[in-house]
Amino acid sequence: MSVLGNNILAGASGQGGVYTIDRSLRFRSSASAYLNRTPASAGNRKTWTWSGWVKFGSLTGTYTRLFSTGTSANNRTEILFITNTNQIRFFSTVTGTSRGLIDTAAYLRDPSAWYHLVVSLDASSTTLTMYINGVQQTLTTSTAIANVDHMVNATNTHSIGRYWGAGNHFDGYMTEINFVDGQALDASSFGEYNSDTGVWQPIKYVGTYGTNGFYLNFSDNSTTTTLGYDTSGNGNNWTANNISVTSGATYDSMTDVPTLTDDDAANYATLNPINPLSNGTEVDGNLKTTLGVNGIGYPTIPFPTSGKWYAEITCTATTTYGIAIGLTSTPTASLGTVDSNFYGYYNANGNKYVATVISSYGSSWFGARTDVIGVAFDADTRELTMYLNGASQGVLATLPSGREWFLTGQHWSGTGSHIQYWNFGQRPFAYTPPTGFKSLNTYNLPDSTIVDGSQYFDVRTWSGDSVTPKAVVTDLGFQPDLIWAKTRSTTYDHMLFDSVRGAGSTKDLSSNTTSAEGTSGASYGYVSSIDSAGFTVTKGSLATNVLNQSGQTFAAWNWKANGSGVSNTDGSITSTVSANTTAGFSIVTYTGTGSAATVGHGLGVAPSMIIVKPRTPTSTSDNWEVYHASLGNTQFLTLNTSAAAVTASNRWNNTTPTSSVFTIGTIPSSSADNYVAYLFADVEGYSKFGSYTGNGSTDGPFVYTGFRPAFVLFKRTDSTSDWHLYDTTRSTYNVIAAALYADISNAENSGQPFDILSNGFKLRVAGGELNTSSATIIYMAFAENPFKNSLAR
Amino acid sequence: MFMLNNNPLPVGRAFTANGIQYPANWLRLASAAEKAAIGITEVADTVRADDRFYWNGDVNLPKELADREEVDADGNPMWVQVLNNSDPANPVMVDSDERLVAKGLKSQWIAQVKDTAGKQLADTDWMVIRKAERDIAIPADVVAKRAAIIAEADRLEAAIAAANDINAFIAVVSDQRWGE
Repeated sequence: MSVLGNNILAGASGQGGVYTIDRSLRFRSSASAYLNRTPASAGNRKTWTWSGWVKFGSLTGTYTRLFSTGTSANNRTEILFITNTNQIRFFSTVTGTSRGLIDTAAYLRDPSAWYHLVVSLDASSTTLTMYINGVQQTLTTSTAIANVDHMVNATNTHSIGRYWGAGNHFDGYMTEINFVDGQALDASSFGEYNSDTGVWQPIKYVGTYGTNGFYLNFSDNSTTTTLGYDTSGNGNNWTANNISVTSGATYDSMTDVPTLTDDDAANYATLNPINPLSNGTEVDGNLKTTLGVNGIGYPTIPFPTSGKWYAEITCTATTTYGIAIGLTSTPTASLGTVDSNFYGYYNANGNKYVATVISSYGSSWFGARTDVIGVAFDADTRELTMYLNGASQGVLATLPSGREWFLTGQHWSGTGSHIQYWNFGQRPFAYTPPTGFKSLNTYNLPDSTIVDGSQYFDVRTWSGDSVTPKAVVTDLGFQPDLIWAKTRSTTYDHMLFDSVRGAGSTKDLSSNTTSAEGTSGASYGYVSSIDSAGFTVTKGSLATNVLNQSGQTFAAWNWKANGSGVSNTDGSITSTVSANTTAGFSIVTYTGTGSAATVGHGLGVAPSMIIVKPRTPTSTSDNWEVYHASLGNTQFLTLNTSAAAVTASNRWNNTTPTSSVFTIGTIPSSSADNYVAYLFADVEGYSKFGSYTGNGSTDGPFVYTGFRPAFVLFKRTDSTSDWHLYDTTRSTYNVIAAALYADISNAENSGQPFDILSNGFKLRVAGGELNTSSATIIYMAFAENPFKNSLAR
Repeated sequence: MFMLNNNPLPVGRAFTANGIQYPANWLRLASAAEKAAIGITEVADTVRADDRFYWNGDVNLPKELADREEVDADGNPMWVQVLNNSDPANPVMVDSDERLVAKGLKSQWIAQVKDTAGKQLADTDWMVIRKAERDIAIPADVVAKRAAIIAEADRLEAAIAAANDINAFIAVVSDQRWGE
C-alpha cells in the first residue's frame, strides 16, 4: 500500500465516504411512545449486543427503559436510563433472582447532543461491557452477571422505549439501533474515530445479525408501520406504538441525527432542561414545554453570530395569558417588563419590547387558541423579524452587536400555564422560512478554525519512576510551548516552563509562589528539554524529584504557541513574542521601565486573559498578576493567592488590551525587571473566557461555551477563593471533580462537582467557591472539540 | 490497541514513524504485515481503572485510603495556607496553625455518604419538625424510610472504616442500598 497519495477518506468503513444518518425516531414520553416485537423463536439468551445512538429528552422521572423484555417483574432483562441519577443500567432477574445489576459510573445528562451506547453481554463468561462514544465504561457491579439464560431473545415481547410490561417510557431520540443475536461485540463494530476531529462517529455495521438481530434506522417514514422496519435483512420488524407521522407538533420522524448529514439533518437545538433558568417542564425530546407563571424556555444553542436563522414556537393556551417570544442576550431577562437584554413580541397587544422601549408592533395573538410564532434572525445584519401564523410583522429591531442571542419563550402573566412546542427544523416547519434562512443545527453552524482542540492544547498524566532524565510526555500532537505541571498525589509546587524563556534548571516558575525564576529547579528537578511532542524532565541535586518522583503521580497542561519567539515592537516596550494566532495564545517576555507602558503581543485580536509574572522580582510585587476581560481594565487578580479581585490602576493602567498591545501599569513594569506574560484570546469553538453568577443550587448555572471543554479554570472574584483547575484527562467522566489549585500546592482532591457537556459546562454543587448564590465566578476553558463536532458527555 | 515505540497509537490519527509521515487512515487500511514492517505491534486494550479509586487509571496505583498529614519536598510539615490581605494591593498566602491534611478515600466517601443521607432525609425533615413543634405524628412509612436511610448510612460508614484494602473499599462503596 502506498503511504503517499492515499486519498481514501475515513469513515464508512473505508468505503470512500463519511457514513451519515438521515433520520431518528422521537419517543414522546407524554404519549407513552414505544416499539415492540415478539420473536417467533428464541435466539441466544446469553450472548448479544445492543448498539444505539441516543439523545435524551426529559431528564426527570426515575427508571426509563431503552430496551426491555420479560414476562413478569421477576423475569426481565433491561437496559435502563436511570433518570434521577442519569446512569445507564443493565438489570436482569430470572425467577426472582438478580442475575446482573450493573451501572455506569458516568452520569449521562447532556441533552444537547448524541451519545453512542453499546451494551455487550457474554453471560457464558459472566461478562457485561458497556461503551459510551467508543470508550469502554467504568462500571459499578451490584450483582455480577450470571451464566444463565437471560430474558432477551426469549419468545416474549421485547420493547424499545418502555418497561417490559408498560410504563417507564423513555423520552428522547434514538437511531441506528443494531441488535446482534449471538455475538458479544465491542464498539468498533459500530463506530470509529474521525481522522480530522478525533470524535467518535457511526459506521455501517457489516457483520451478521443472528436469529433475532435487527437494524432500525427509522428512515422509511411513509407510515408508522414502515418506521419499524428492520433493514438488517432479517425482517424482524417492530411495531410503532403511540408514534406519529402526522404533521404538526406530534410528528416523530426527526432529522435530528448524530452526523453532519446535510443542512436538514444534523444535531438540532432543543429546549435546554439543564439550564436552571429554562424553568418549564420540558418533555417530548425537549421540544415541548409547559410554562407556568414566570416560566421561561431557553434553547441548547444560541443563534450564531453570522448567517440567517429561523425557528418556530407554537403556543397553545386554553385561556388568556401574557406570552412573549423573542431573543435575549443573557438568561436573566426580567419577565413582564422592559429589559435591556430582551427583544420580543408580546401577545396581548402585539407590542414589541425593544430593550427598554415598548411600542406598537404587530397583530395581537391574544386568546385561548393555537398560534405559530416564527422567529427570523439575520445575524449578519442583526435584524429580528417576527411572524404570526406565517405573516411577517416586520422588522422588530436591529439588535446590538457583540452578543450571543438566545431564543426565548416566556409566560408573563395569567395564573395557570400554557404549552409551547419549539421547532428548529427537526420536524417540518408549519410555514416556509424566509428565503435563505436556515435551521439551527450543527451542520449549519459555522465551521470552527480548530476542529480538534488537542492539536493546540492537551493534558497528559504520568506516574513517577525517578528515572532521570526521563521523557515523561512524548505523544502530544504538537510541541508544547507552555508546560504547566503539577504533582497530583502530593504537595509539590506547580512548575511552569515555556519555550520563550526556555527549559533548564534556572527556568522554573511556580504559580503558587512568588519565587523568582529558577528558585527550585536545580534542587528539586526541572524540564530539561521541550521536545517535538512532549518534554523531558531531569532530577535536581536533592533526593526529591518534583516532576518524576517514584510513587507520585503527575499532570501537565500543555499549550502550543509558536516556538522561541520573535522581537515585537508594537508597544512602547520591545517584547519577545511567541504567538499562535490560530489558537489565540501568545507568550511574551519584556523588561519593565518603571512606568506605565504598552507591550506588543502578536495575537492580532485583543486578549481576554493575561497572566504576568516578574521573573526576577523586586520588592514592588512578586505576585502573578491576572487580567480577565470579565473584570475589565480596572481590576486584577493574583494567581498565587486566593484574594478577591482588587481595583487598582497600577496593573493595567485602566486601559483595555488592543489587537496589538496590552497596557501595563507601574507594578508589572518595575525598572529593569524581566517579565513573562501568557495571553489568551477567545477563539470560537476552541477557547472561551467568561463569567457566570452562582445560584447556590446543585441544579447550578449552565454555561454555554460553544465547545466541549477539555479544561476549565475557575476563580470566584467577589470573595476569597482558590483557583480551581479541572480537566477531562484526570476526570474521565461526569461528574468532574478532580481538583488541583493554582494558588496552593495541595494534592488533588475531590473539588466542587460540575459536568462537562458537549456545548459547555454545568455546576452541580450547592454553594462553595464555584456556586455560591450571587457570587461572580470567572472561567477560562479550552476545547476538546467545537460543539458542531461534539458528542454528548 | 496499536503501539509504536512503546507508545499507544490512536486509530484515525496521522503519525510519524522512522521519519515518514503516515496519514490518518493508514492504520485502519494497512495490513498486519505492513504495520509490523514499521514496528507497530498490537496489544490487548487495557480497561482504564476507575479514576475515583486509582491514579492515572492504573490498577497498580490505588489512591490512599487513610488521611495523610502532608510534608513538603524536604519532609517538613505543611500547614493550611490562608490569605493575608492586610495590603489588598499585594495579597499574600501565609501558613495557618492548621496542619495540611490530604483526605484519603475513606474520609471522602464517608462525607459523601453523610451528604447522600442528609439529602434523602431532607425530603421528610419537615415532618420531624412538625412533630416537634405541633406534635403531629410522622407517618409510619416515613418513620421506617428514615430509619432505613440512617441505618444504611451507619452501615456504609462502618464498612468503609473497616475496609483494609482498595478492593474491599470498592466493594463497599459499590454496594450502596439507599432504595428508590
